[in-house]
Amino acid sequence: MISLFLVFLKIGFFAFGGGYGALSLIQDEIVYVNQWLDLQTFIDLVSVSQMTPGPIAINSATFIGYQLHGVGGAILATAGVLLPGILWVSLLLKLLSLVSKKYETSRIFEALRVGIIALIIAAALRIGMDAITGIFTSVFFSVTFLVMLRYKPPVFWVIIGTGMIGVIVELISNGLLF
Amino acid sequence: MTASRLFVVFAKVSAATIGGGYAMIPVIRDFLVKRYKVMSDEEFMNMIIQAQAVPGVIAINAATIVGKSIAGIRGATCSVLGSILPPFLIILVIAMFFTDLVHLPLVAGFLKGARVGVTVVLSNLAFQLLKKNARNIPHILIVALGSVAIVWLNITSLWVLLIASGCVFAVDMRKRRSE
Repeated sequence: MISLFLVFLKIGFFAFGGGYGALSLIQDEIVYVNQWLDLQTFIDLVSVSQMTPGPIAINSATFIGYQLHGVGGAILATAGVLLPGILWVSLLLKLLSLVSKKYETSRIFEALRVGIIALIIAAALRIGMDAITGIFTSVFFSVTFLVMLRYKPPVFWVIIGTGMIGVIVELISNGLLF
Repeated sequence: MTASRLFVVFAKVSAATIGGGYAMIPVIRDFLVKRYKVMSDEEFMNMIIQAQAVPGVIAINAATIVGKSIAGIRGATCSVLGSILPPFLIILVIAMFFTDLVHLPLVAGFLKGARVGVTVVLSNLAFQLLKKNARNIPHILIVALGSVAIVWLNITSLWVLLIASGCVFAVDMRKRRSE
């Protein structure tokens, strides 16, 4: 169980670039280096982690930890994967507090605020290619997008609302409603 | 904004948002910038950039930075706990009782619909940020190429962030010099 914690600590420490980067590290460590799970089980766990709410890397850590050592394993794996990030962040904040008043920093952040849009579009594309698969979902996407632009509803309720519509559609298409 | 309020906001966001860390950004932004108005859009995006710049899970890094700036160490702790607790419990329930939960029509329907919702919300955020921050055609081209590089060339997003922003910086420098 200690080695499980250490492995996830290591993953969290080197996981540059967020969830997807972390996933390939997790796969290496869990499936190939330590051989705690076979590839198929790993893929199944990750696909559930992608479907449930929350950060994918954290979800996979919780799930894998539970599979290997029960609730204790889940807690340790989750703690392991998130602690290094908090450490890195504190370090970065210390560093930034030394320079952030400078004029160049604001120019650099101005450029970074444009660059980060590429990452947000990439995330939209990745989820979108998975979510929008036919005419119905395309129309659903467009209508929701227009509603968002026009009425600016709270973003939280857009996600809950589209989820609810998904439930209704699923029930109708399974013949469970009407 | 109190630390306990932060806990509630981050718990709500992480309980509802399917699709990983990036999907949580527009929802957190909506709460903190639009609704509670505890920071400006620029401040929020700067914090997301910082969260992306260091290793770790983006959502957790962001929760730490945002929480700390609003309510100190207590704020950071509450934000992080808020963003891990709901997913942690959901995964535990699934792992303990039914691995097939995600295939029940009720749950599967919600996940399918909400994924479209998350796509809308992320596209909307990208659109708003482009309108606000991308000041000319080269900027838009750089952003487009960057996102293609991540999705289809599988280039690590940190590299894309650094290279794309470097290009934007260079374009701005040239522009400033010619003015």
